[in-house]
Amino acid sequence: MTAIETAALTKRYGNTLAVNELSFSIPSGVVYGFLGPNGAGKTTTMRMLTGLLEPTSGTGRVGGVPITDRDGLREQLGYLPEEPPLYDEATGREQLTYIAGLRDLPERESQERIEELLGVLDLTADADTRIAEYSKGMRQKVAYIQAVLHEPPVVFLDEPTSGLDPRAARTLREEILGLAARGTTVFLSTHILPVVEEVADTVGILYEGELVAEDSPESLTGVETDGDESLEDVFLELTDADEVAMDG
Amino acid sequence: MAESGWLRHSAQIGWFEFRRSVRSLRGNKGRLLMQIAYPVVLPLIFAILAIVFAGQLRSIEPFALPDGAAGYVSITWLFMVFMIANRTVSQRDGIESEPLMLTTVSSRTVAVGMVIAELLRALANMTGLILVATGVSALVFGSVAGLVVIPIAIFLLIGSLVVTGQAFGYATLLSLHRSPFLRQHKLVIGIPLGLIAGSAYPLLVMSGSADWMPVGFSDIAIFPVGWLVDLMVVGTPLVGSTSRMVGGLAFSGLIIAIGLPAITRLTAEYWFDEPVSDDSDDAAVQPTTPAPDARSSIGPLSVPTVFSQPTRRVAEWGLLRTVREPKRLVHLLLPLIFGFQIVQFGFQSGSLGQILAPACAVTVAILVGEIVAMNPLGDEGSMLSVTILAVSGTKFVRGLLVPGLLYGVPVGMLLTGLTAVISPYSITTILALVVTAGVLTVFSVAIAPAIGMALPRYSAISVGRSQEVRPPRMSAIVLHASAIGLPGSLLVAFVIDPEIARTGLAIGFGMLPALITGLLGWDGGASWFEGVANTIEALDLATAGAVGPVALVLGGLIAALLSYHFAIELFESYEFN
Repeated sequence: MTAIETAALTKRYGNTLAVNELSFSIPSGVVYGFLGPNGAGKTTTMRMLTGLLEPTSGTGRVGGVPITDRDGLREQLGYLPEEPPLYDEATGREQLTYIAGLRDLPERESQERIEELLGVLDLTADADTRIAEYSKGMRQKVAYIQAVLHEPPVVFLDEPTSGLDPRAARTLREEILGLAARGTTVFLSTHILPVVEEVADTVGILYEGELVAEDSPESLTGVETDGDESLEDVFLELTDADEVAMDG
Repeated sequence: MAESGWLRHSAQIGWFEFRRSVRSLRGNKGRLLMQIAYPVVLPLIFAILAIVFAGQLRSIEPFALPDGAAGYVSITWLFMVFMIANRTVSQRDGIESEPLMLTTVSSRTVAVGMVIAELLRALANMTGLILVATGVSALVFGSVAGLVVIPIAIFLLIGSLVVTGQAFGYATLLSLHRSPFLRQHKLVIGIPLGLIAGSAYPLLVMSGSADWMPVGFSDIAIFPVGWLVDLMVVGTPLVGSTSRMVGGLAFSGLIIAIGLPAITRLTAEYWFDEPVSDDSDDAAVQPTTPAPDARSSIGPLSVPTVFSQPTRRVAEWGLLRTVREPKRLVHLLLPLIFGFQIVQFGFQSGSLGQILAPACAVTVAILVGEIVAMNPLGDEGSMLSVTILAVSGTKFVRGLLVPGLLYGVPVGMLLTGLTAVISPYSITTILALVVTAGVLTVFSVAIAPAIGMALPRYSAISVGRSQEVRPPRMSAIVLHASAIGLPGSLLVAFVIDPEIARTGLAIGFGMLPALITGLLGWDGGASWFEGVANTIEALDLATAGAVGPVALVLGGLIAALLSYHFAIELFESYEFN
């Protein structure tokens, strides 16, 4: 079953083409690593797919719901933007309870799930401390929990491991793999290429608004054909302006 | 080793900080406009008046400077000291990039640099006045001395008040650092003090010479800083006392001489001090103190479960944020000042009884509407994307309305009823006023989200040390206050006395436009508007008294409903570009 699909998805800001006729299809239960240099159009793409930005042209569906149907999308997706979206005045537990309430989740079940996720991400002891006092990693963890709290079929994660210490980063990577194992589709945008190599089933590389490569990490790096390139080498080759021009 | 060239470094810091203040103003057009109004418009008016009346000014015979002048300067000086101290405590308790600065230069250099920056900010506000005063003294009165003494006197006046204000500010901050009692009760102590100081000054200035005031300007003239005014008038027909000139110079100079080392010492203690814990010794065992949960934080202001869970959560959140971050309410100062001025007018004119309850009905309605929902999109900050993806526009907007409707309406009605106790109105009029207060508050609450979403502010401003306060845009506040204040005042006027309302209408829709069109030279328009005024004045009072309020309430109802749907539409169609 297809979790995310786009057809000629395009976003233009005046004369600037941010995303150009993007077409891809992501099946359910996979981790899709979405890579690209700064300014490639990753955030614009994620915003269009989450219904936060209307495309200039083209179509897209998430969980079978058109990306222009914001009401329908609410049920289908969870989103963790690059900047952890949190209220500094709240405690971690209040923040999560608030989001559960906004999503109209049953109170008892949502409380149980909050406690479970706080425990998994080692936040229980600090759950009643105000977010203003949290470290960057703790903020990232709370923001991650609020993105998956309602168990959406599709989760969009923008740099989820940024600012995390190695232990917390590993926990989150395991969480991402756990999500996929339970059938959730994870759309993962990050600059930390080893994370993508470790968790992604498919990698899409975006450059100047266009998808320049899409395949499994093994195929991209040539591991399957005894190649010895790293994902970093592949990424740098594909997103180097001179090389792209020569190839073109 | 002592830092060489520290004074030069201080001057560099001061100039750099001053330039940063100016640059930050450029990004905030509303503030820039207000900031320009005083230093430019006022001197301009004085300059024009001086040019127009130059002949009359020259013909004034010399006379002794009244004591009241020194008193006025003294009371203004004291108030400005309070303002600077307040700014130091709430906004400028340290320098930006403090760790970098304090490991690069000495704390004395930074402290003096901050004094210089504040001095430059104050002088920038006064430059226009200094130029005009000096110009008038030299050109109108032919006084060369004025070219020297006026800048010196103003520099000493501002320098002494900046130094005193900052010294008091840092002393307060150090006390807060070291006293758990003060830290815990700073709001309880600070708010009444602020209100007293903030209201005493305008009251004294406006009523300083009134017979009923126990203290007049002349009594305050014993404070030597005010004697600098004797120096300022050298060369003009006003004759000051030489001994007081010397006294003013010596005293203000002494303040600066003592104040600067005091600031240096206080800042050194404050910046390198660890604040004492608010908690008992047990706290040492537990590194973080759990904050009380959301519902207990908002105490009795809970939201009943008749509302859907998302609506309830948005409403509770609005209340919680207000309770936990009262700095967010800094924008309410504007309607508060407006209300205060009406009360002050009533106080001075001896008509407080008649004015208080109607003013309360309108002002409280405006205030209640502006507490929770004047910048709903900006308030969400980084959470906006998640909120939009989590809740529908209908539930979100309803959540914004609930606190005001649930608690604001009864508060508005209660306060209006209480203030009406001292009014001369009949019980029927009082009851009508109370109902009007309720109706106005409903309208005020209902239109606020739409105005706040149509005119959002996303960039944070610095209030205190917090960089994350996003008060509503000035245009949103003015629009909301006008949308409630103008028709609301008319409605209460209809309730009290339809004749007042009729006159108000005639002025607003007839006489005022007639005056403006007349001044613009459009005689046809002026006479048309005069006709409108006459028609309104000729309206039957009974009919006007019956139709006017109904039309206003109906108009308010339509506006409230349209605003509600508009706010939902704005939320649902919001895009992250």
